[in-house]
Amino acid sequence: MEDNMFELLQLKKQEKEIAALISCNEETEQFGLILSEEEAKELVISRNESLKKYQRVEFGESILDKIIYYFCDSQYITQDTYAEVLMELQDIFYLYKNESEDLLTDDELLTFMKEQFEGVCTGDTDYLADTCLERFVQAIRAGYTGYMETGGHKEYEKFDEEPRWDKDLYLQVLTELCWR
Amino acid sequence: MEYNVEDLLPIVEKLSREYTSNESSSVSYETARMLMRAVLYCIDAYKSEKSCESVEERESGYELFSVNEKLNAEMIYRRGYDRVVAKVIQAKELYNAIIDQFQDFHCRNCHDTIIEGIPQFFLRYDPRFKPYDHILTLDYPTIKSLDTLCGVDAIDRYLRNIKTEWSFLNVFDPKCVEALLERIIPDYKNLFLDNISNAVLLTGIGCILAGKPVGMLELQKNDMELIGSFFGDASEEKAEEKIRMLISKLFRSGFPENAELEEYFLTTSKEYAVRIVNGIKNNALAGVFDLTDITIGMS
Repeated sequence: MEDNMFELLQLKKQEKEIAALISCNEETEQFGLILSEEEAKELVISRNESLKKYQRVEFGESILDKIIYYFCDSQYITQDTYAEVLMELQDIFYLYKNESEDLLTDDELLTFMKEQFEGVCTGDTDYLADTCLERFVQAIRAGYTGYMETGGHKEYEKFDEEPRWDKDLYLQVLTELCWR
Repeated sequence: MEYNVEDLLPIVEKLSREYTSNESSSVSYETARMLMRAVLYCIDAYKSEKSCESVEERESGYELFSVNEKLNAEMIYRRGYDRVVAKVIQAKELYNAIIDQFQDFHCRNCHDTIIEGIPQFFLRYDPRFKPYDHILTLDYPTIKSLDTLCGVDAIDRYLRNIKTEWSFLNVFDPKCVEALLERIIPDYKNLFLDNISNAVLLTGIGCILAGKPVGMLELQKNDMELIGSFFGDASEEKAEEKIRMLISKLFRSGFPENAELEEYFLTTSKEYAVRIVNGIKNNALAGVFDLTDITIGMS
């Protein structure tokens, strides 16, 4: 019964949230990103589904506004993919709120997500969820607390397992080019 | 004082903001349930206080609050929360009063629960987010159960029970109590998990029937005949009546100023009756009382 009650709470807020999402267009317009009313509705519906799926309840303001604010200047989001990416990002957000056992605050999680999305993920939400966030929350569950000081900034470097920059190879190629 | 579940959601919402220090817009269902339970616990605390007041008001002829005073759910919650905090302070005062003259008879279970455990409750109890969680398992049992009580209500009731039991136990010479416990279980210090006053009272009743000083808590094999003849072939109900009479007599003469004590310990009479009647039926009364001239397992 209580679970239904939490779902009802989300449904009651729906109209206000759609209006709030539309009002975000004023800010995102400068990046060429606009949400139609239909897309805003779909986003709210998908948000409610995510909340239900991950057994969470959202009080007060929706996280969608914040996700939009964090990601609107992304080089990997275009008008064509805007709504779809937002849906994926909010789903990932709730999943990893649970996976981090609520140890991460909204801002810490979003900061980490944005940095990786723009960096190593190059806009790939699957890589963000299944690799970057997975490694990060695994460390948090094991007792890592460094993110509290950094607020989620430059955290992935500590857990990245792939060599991203091979200095020796770079020098070798540079030498060859210069001495040719 | 009626309210809907919808009235409680804004309170849960505020509580959830406090719980996450305003740093998370959502919480898990588990956390939301925990917070809802916390709200309901405080509301119940207010309601139970109000119903107690109503009885007093009816008796004293005046009302503390105006009849027309209408409280919304949030006000009820806040007053209930204040009541919970006040209860914790009261329980702390009660504990300090008990611990002043507390004697654990070197029983580890009793020591760990009352001397080690209860202070942890006062350190860790969370009246804001988990007022229903009294943290401790309260392994040392009291004669009266705590029923479905939880949170500070359970601790408060437990401490009241302990206070009553120790008002009785403190009149005995600790050495006599320890000797009795040692007869029950030689390594009673580590292994005695039952209620101490229960064993002391049963032996005390035996002493009255055998015409021996109750304070010594010593019974011999030849006393069993007198005890057996007092009950004869009485049914459990009859035996219970007789035991009630003995308990009343014991407490009225020993603690005339404390009627609560008699009422509290009368609850043991049914259990004693069953044990004694079975002991007589099976010719094993010596096994019911812990005798000084007999060892467990020998007859």
